[in-house]
Amino acid sequence: MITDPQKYFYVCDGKVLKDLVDMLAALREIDDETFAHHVNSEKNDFYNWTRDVLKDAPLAKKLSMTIDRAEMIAAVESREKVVSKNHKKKAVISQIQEAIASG
Amino acid sequence: MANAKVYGVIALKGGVGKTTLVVNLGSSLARDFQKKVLLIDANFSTPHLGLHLGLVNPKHNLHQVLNNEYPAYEAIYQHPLGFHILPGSLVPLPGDPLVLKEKIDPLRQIYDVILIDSSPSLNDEMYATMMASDELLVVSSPDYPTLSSTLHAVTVARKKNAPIRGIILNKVRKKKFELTAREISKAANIEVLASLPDDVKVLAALAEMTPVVEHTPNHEVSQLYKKLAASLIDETYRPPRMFKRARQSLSKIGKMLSKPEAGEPHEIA
Repeated sequence: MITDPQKYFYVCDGKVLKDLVDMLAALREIDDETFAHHVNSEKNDFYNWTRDVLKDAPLAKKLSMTIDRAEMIAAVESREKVVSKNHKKKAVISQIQEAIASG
Repeated sequence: MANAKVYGVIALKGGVGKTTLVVNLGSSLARDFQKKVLLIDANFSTPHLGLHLGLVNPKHNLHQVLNNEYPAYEAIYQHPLGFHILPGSLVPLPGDPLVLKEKIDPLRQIYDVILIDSSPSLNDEMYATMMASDELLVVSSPDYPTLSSTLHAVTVARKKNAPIRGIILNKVRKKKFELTAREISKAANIEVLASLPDDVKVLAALAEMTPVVEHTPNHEVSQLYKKLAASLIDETYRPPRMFKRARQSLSKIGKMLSKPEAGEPHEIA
């Protein structure tokens, strides 16, 4: 999760995005006009933020290849699942480490 | 005169592949790198090394050595593949595991590499392996329970000041849900030396009581065992060409047919 407010993604409808979960929710919820403001033939703000702020190269690569909303949602969904599993793994490993260290 | 390096193979969990690792490293070191190798079954409670190698119920065994019935070199068997085995008794006998180091240290002069198959229990049996070894190889597999056991074993080894060479990640299926070598290495703060696949060929070899590196030498898992064996002696494994393989096979048959000389280790029946 991004903690520096200067690096948040400020959607033009007022939403503030801090991580992949926020981005996925925004892509699902924002209206077409808002989506078109950020994603059009000249730019893709979600791609830029993913690449430059989240520094998630695998997802950025997928987002660079489309401006179709459904495809972008599918790409973020897929990546979010992977990231979520990795976070869960780290949490479990951390708990195991703590338990053994305390024993 | 040889001065053996002693590797203890440990894991605080059964079934991760300790004995399979010992058997295949030993076979590869002897056959591919012409090293004098001794495999020791120090899993005193459940000794199964012999069952991997066609030595089902050894008359002479390490348990008797621990009980001062005779010196260690009198309980050693010669395997047809060229390495030696110091087996345990299939029916475990009482004995003090902690004298293991004292009993096997004289054997360092005879061998290049000694591999000790340890007990999976955190007791004197595992401590005996830790004390008798120059370095430990920790066998793990890519799941949480085994990771927990691995971290526990590593913690104990560090408390005992037993140097750890690295982790061998075994039974890898390359599935997304598995823990990765990187995650395990990071959690234990120890290098993963090899990732070995969960391969049915290993079970097929076990059914024939043969190391998979001999049973199916060109298979991926065998090649990885050989590379790992090479790294333990600071060498590089290069797969032999076809004619060399044929020559090795002939040599193997010749060794198997040769008669034992007086004073040599026991032959496996």
